[in-house]
Amino acid sequence: MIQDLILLVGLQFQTSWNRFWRMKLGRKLLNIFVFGLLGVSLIFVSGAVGLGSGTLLQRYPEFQLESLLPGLILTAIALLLLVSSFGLALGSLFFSRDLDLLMSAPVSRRAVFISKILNGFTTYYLLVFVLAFPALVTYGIGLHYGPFYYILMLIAVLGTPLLPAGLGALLVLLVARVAPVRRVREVLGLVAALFGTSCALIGNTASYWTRQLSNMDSSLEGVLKTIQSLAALPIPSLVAGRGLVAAGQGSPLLGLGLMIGFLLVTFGFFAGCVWLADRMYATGWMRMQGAGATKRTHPGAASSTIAGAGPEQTARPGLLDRAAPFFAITLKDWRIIPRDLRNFAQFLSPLFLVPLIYIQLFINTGGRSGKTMAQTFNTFAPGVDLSSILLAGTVLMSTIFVFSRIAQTGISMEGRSYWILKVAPISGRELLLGKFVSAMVPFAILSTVLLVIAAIVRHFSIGGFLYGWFGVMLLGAGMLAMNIGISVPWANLEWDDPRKMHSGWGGLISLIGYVVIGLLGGAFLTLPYLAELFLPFLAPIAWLVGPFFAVGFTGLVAALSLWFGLSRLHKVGEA
Amino acid sequence: MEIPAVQAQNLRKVYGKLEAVADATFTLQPGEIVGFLGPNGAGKTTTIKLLTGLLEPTAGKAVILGHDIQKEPIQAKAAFGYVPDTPNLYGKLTGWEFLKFMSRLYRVPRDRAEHRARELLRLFQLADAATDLLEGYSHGMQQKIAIAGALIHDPKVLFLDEPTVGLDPKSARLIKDILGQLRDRGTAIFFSTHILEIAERMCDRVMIINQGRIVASGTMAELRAGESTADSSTDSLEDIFLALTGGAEYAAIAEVLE
Repeated sequence: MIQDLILLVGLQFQTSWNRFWRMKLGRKLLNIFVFGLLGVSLIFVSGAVGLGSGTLLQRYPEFQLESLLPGLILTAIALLLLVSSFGLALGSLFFSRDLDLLMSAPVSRRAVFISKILNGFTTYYLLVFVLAFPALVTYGIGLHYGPFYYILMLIAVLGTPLLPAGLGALLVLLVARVAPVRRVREVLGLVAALFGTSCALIGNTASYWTRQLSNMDSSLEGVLKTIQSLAALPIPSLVAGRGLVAAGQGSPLLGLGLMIGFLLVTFGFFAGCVWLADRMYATGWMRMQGAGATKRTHPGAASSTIAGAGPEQTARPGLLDRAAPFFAITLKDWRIIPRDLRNFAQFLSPLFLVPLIYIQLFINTGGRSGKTMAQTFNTFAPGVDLSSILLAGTVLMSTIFVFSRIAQTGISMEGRSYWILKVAPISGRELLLGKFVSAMVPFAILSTVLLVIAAIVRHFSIGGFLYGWFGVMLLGAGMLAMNIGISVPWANLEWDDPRKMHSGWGGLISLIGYVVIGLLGGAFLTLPYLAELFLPFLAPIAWLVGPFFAVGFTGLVAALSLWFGLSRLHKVGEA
Repeated sequence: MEIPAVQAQNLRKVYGKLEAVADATFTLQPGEIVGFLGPNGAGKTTTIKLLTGLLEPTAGKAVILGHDIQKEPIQAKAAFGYVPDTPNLYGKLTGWEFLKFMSRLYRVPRDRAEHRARELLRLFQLADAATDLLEGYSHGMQQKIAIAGALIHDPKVLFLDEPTVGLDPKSARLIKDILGQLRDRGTAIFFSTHILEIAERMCDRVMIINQGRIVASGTMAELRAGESTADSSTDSLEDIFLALTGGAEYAAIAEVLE
């Protein structure tokens, strides 16, 4: 088995190295630059956190947190690894392309399993050495710890990924026993996206929450006690942290004892998890091979009715039955998108902009004035409710980012199935129209709902609401059409994971297009308000000219983009 | 005079320095089955993609029932059905939804589409899997639903790229029977295959392509006459195929296997 394991690990190393080495030089350098920059930044931040905490705790020993922080750092990284390990283990244990070959080859199945588990360790150790290692080193420097601390720290850092990796693999195998792994992978994608969205939302409204927390009736002492009680839990990483601090504070024996305990538990747990998971692996993998797909019910398609449909079923056709070809494409997109949760999750992420901007505009008070941003804006132009215009802009921005994905990946979304549309007797116009409707209708529904809520909450006038709605629809339609057209030449049909469908340069150019349409189209639409404010006698003309130019400009950009897309559509899919 | 089902006129496709298809000229009449043979990488799939409009030719043109695929793509595409070698389908649609989608793309009237979808599902023994997502279908099932999708609009011309790959013998026989019936009803069928036995038994004519050039075309009798060996009357299609596409490299096989 060891020989097989060495062979398989060597194979993984070789394929990873080949993938990197055979990249184009520019891409290779870009990768090195981006990952290098990211790594250095994280190391810097982590180091600064460790040094800052160490220095602070040395100055304020009354907090009694010195013995807790290393453990908390290791626990935080272990939790992060646990979350990553689930996804990594799921991918490498069930979705690696070489699994058919390896599982049918005369190599030890256990070697295949362990090599797949070890596959994730490069990532785990990269994370540990970038996030935890610098913080622990500088923490020791801040508190003037001796060399024994650093030796034990290295051991603790090396041992930390074992437990989450083993537990992640075991969880994957347990989940695979009760649910189809493909669905698990999709749910995981959705959960990860929601988690990321929540983090982004909390991070961007940190000042608001800090203020809320500071107003809560709780003392610093209470918070410290809570942290101390949490840190006393018998979690291996916390035990390792206590061992590190003991070594640093001059109790090497206690430190060593705690570290040995940590290592025994970690290694034992890892070995146990691997043993258990290995026993379940073959069954889980074979189940996946034979797994059918989810049954979808359709009144006309139940197996019994296909042979001889009753009149009741034929009288209830679905929407697809009546649809024109372009709308059939739209309906097909609407069916496919929510069924793949990994793709669907990408649509949800930008929605965090709505509460974020609302909080920043209307709730969060900043500076010495104690005013919200909206109140500050309104002081610039007392006669005009600028905050309502901003709110309409917010609705437009957040919903356009949600549905621009449908527009931007309109053609890419077809993936390798694009041949179906390419050989079908439909024109390029019908195809792009189908894609436009796919994005526009949900955009119109969601933005209308959000605008109605905004109108109720912010007491818009009916005229103001209708004008705002017109503006949002006009600019949104223009942006989506522009995005669809521009993305055509860069459509990416070669993807397996829907999160990787993108249109490269198309996305970037469209982003610039959004800004241009948003600023210029928006400026034309706000012209009447500005005229009322500064040149009231010109207001009636501005009410005619502003919307007219907005329609003309947005329509022109959209038409040119769609023409551009149409002229290049015939080249898509010609590899 | 009857309009040819398919006309390829000096079709040429060049990728950089590689000439994938060179000056392909041939005609397919309605109700004719033509088998398209050639070694791996000879240009079979590229030719089919040029005929179906999936690729733009560097030169020449493809005409389907009188409609140039590049100039009148809608009319030309409405006339044919196509099944690629790898049936990449929408994994998140069910078999039933896929057929309904195809029927709308090809503008099949609703009642007819529903009836035909049911019949095709039953014919291909996919009725029980009609409500399963396509991502759960086996390769053979995907191949069959792709063929069903290509037949949903009752095409006058059918292009199939390796239609029997991945099919069990029963399904392969079914496809052969269906193709025979379609031919009897006047459908022109152009398919590529590596299985020479199928080509020999089913096809009215056989075309052989090698290194992008069509090196032989005709009935079995015509091919035998053209590529006569010592006893041309007993030449199998395999002998002719190897004679035309080169078989010298097979001498080395024995050495390797020894």
